[in-house]
Amino acid sequence: MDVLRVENLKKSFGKKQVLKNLSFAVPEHTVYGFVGRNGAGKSTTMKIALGILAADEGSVYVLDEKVKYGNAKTNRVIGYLPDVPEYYDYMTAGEYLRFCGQLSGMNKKEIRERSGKLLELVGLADEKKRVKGFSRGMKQRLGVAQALLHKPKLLICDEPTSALDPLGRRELLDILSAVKEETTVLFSTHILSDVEQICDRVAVLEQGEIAVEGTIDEIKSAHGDGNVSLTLGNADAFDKLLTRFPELTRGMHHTLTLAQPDQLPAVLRYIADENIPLIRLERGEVSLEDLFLETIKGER
Amino acid sequence: MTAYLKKECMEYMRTGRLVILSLIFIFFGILSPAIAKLTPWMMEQLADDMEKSGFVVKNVTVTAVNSWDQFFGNAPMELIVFLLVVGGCFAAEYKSGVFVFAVTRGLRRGKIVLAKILMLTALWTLLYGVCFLITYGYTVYFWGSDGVWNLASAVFFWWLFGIWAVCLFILMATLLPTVSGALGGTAGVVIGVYLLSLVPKLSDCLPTYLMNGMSIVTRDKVPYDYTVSALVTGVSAFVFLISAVLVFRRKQL
Repeated sequence: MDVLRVENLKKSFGKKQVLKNLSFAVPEHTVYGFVGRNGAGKSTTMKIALGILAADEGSVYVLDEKVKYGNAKTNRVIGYLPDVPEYYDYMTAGEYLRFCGQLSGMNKKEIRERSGKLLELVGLADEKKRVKGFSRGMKQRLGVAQALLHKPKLLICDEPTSALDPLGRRELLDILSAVKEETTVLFSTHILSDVEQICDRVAVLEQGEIAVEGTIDEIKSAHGDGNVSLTLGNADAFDKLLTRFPELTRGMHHTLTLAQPDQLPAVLRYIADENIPLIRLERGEVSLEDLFLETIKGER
Repeated sequence: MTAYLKKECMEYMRTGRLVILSLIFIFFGILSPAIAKLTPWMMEQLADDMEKSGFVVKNVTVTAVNSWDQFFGNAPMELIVFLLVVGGCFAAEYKSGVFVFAVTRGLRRGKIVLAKILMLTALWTLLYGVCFLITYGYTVYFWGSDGVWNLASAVFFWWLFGIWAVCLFILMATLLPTVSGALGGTAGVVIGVYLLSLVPKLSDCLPTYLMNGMSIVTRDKVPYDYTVSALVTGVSAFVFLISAVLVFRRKQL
């Protein structure tokens, strides 16, 4: 079942069309990476899904219920974590969660139990000071706690790690990985290593449309198996190989790189026939970053 | 909405705004009878200078009417200070983006506007009430109530004008994102209404007519004369309130 379904979404700001017929779906219990460069339309899509921004055309459905701009009833089942969450500075973490719980219609007992559990999860259980004195990382962790308080079916995280230092980022990613079991996460970012670490599926948004979509393995295999590097023991053999296989490129330290792995058997056969000493054969993993760069290059 | 109202109360208490407003309104409450009480002494101090200018000061008598005259004279300043202190109640939340959190938790936008209006109405009522009671206590203690007529009506009409200004401010705050915009817009409309009230046929129909509480106290006018103005004020305040809810429901946060 799809927790979030975006259908033919269009949105322009002035003359600039940010979303052009955007469609995708987020299946239940997945961490869905929503990738794109700055200004690609990630936040715009999320704000429309939250009913705080009106779409020009198209629809967004949360658990098959259509999102309405203004008073989105679908927000009952959504938790939202923005890049830099802001709070009422004069409240403590516990008071803020109580306020959020009351807004969500939870009863006192539920709020107390859930707040305690979540503050423990995000490491703020012993924090008694007001939010005013919180670091950015602490605010972000409190943001996760408030977003998960009412056990949402969908957690929308809009670049939650972009403003954090490496430690804060690590902590937040660990928390998001941990909550994967109880909710579905839509996670927008332009930090691709974050996506590789925690996402099950990924969509690359480029020029207002989904350019690539699928599980990380699917995407990687659809875009080839990565390159192969060969380290030779004899530098004299370089020219021979390069002449015979023009698709090989010269690298550092007696290394040749083969961008098309399907040529590998032929290259190895040639190396064996010519008795060229081969020290190392290494298959390079294709990274999401390479795919992302390739995708946006192709779209330009 | 109860949760949001509780949040509003906590905000006014913890940010110190309630204390500041209380001190200001207590000060104004004391100020009116104090000025009345000190008037003979002040006139005496100025008597020599005034005599040189041809004015002779003799037997200055102060009554309860003078104290209430001061009270109604200070009321516009109280309202201005009140709106200046609460002026950021929408703008601060637009700026920080905290409205988004409340809305994404399922709180209806209309309830946010209603909670803000309820809070400001309660605050205005409380502070204006405290100010009135202090003035009333001192005035009755020093001068009794002789010569003072329909005080309750006069005080009520000024309170109603304050509520009208609060509703107008809320509408402006939903329309304009900054403190200066909301307060400037409110001031602009009040000045506009005041200028309209200079047209004799319109003056007793407009909300600004309610500010003239002393005419009731001195029996130049009776409360009934304020009926049309009070109705126009009540209806327009309600229209402001509904408009604010409608505007805020479509507002991009």
